[in-house]
Amino acid sequence: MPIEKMPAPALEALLDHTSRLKHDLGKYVRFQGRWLGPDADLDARREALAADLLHTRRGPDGSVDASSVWAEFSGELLGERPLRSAEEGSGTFDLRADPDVARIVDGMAVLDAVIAALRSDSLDEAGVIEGERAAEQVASAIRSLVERVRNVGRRPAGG
Amino acid sequence: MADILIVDDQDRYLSLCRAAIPEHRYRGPTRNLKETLDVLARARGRVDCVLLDVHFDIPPEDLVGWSEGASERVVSDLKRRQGLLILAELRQRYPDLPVIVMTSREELALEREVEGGEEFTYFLDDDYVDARALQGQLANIVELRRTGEFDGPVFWGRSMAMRRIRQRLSVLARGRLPVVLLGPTGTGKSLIARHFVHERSGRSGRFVTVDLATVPTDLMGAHLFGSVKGAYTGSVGDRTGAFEAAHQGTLFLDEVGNLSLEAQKMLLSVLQEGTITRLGDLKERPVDVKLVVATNEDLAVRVREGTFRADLYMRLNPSTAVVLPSLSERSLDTAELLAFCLEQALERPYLRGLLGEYRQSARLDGHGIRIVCGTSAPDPEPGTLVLLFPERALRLMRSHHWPGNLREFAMTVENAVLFAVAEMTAAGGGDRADVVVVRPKLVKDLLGALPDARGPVSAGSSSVHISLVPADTLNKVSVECERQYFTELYVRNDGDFGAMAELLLGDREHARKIQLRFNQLGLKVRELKDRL
Repeated sequence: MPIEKMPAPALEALLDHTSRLKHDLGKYVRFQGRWLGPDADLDARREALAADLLHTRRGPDGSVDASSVWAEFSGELLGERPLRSAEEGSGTFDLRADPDVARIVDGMAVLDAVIAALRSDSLDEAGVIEGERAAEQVASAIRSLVERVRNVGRRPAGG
Repeated sequence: MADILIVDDQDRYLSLCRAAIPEHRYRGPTRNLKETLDVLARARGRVDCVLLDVHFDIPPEDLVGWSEGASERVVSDLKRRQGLLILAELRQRYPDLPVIVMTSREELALEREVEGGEEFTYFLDDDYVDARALQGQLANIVELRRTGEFDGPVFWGRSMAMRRIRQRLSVLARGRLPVVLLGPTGTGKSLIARHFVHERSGRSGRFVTVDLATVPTDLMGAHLFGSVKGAYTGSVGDRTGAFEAAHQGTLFLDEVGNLSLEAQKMLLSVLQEGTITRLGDLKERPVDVKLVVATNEDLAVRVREGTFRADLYMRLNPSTAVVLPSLSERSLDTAELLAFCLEQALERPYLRGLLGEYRQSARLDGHGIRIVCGTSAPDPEPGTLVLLFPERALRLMRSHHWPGNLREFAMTVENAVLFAVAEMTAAGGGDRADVVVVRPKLVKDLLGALPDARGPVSAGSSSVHISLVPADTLNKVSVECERQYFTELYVRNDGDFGAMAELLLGDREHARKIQLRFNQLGLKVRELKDRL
């Protein structure tokens, strides 16, 4: 279902869900890498990519990689788990046809492979470039998704 | 180097900042409001900027806004916007502390917390920010904070007392109540009213100033409130008063203690009703004015004496009065103030013209001027003229008492530059034509011509301020007095024992006796060297 057609309580729940996705994944999947600037060498870029993808969420109990963080959120966007609204469940919605959700899914598929390569210490220069591109794609698609959901939610009813 | 406090529930910003922007000192990260306030209180104003994250995944009981029994949903919401709640608290307590919030303004479109303190709140979209962007932002903020560039000709310095005054005034400027500025003459009251309070009031109208010491008592009412033709002898036409001229702006009443009783009554009415009536007129006119009043008198005493109305005094919001310190209480700021005044002096067209003439006569190219306060001039730079203010000249400035405060200081600096350039021109340049030196002797001569609050140094009429220090014997008390007396004379006579001997014993030949006594009192030349 296009997000433009979702009912108001579901949109509210989607905004909350995607905002949390943005904080937990969108912000940190391309956090350290972005700080490096254009002149950074390959080792520094690989190190930053590893920090962003392998330790995407950090807390007192250790860190969680980007794939695991995405797994916590993807079910609600792909119609596998219901979205929860403020007061009650607001239904299940499959948004995989949404262009931003599709970009996130594609990007995460690439990042899964990059994460595996990082873990086995076999990520070459092409892999670093591919990983940076995919991380940027995921971050930007999440930003775009949140913005669109927010804008749709602001639109007056019937307008 | 700036002192930056990071407020974040994780260590990421800290480690990134340390690695990518190592030129600053970082505190924290503090994980919640309480820790943040503790660090700021302990830092006592030394923190230059706060870097604040927005989402805080911390225990619910540490969240601002949390209460027992809050639902999971409420807790989640509080975590998501915790940084903004912390920001709101910081704004209350530290209104002009720069805070960089790591989120975009668009993200906050639906949030209500970010109100007030806009001038000192910056947003960096953490979806796009990189080290270079943050580095640039920090550098700008720190520069503004250090130089006080915001405030035009107002000099704040770095003392805690002045920082507190600045913070307080920045809050008072935005309110609707009058602002009372107290302090000795020359402490910058009118500059602060014009360039700080008015600038920050957010008002669109004009800044109008009235020095009540210069307005004849019988014309005060007409001057402030306006008049119509024929209202008084010689009133040949309608006249707009200062209140109307300052409508929707700021009216600064200097020397408010000079207000006549009649004008006091009218001013009270304006403050109560928000309207003025021109002299001789019946029509009430609404006025919306931010009132700033200044005086170096104690208005409370005037109220007790019955020469200032108690009800007007209360209306002037005296509980928030700001007392500006004299320059002698700000000796730590002297070097910075000197640089500030030198820069201001060099902006004067006539001094620029004079320097231009000197450049021509000394055949120097370029237009650059570099101010150096220190012991020696730096290596020559093409096109740059150095204005050197030696350390010894600075010490003389520091030891002067400045009864005329900032105004007198600024004038002395301007005179010093003027005479230094004139001397160089007359001498056709010194060893280095690119260096204009403000000689200590010149500064001493200029200061010697000024009244010093501590009195002139001449036999029979000099006075020295001595602090009495209780001791267990009269001899010890007496020796301490004599020690202070000798110290003061030594400093005032620029370390010249001969001059002290002439002053005390009528003959320079007795310098040895003076030095002997100086040593007996336990005074050490090397310890007093810095005061010369």
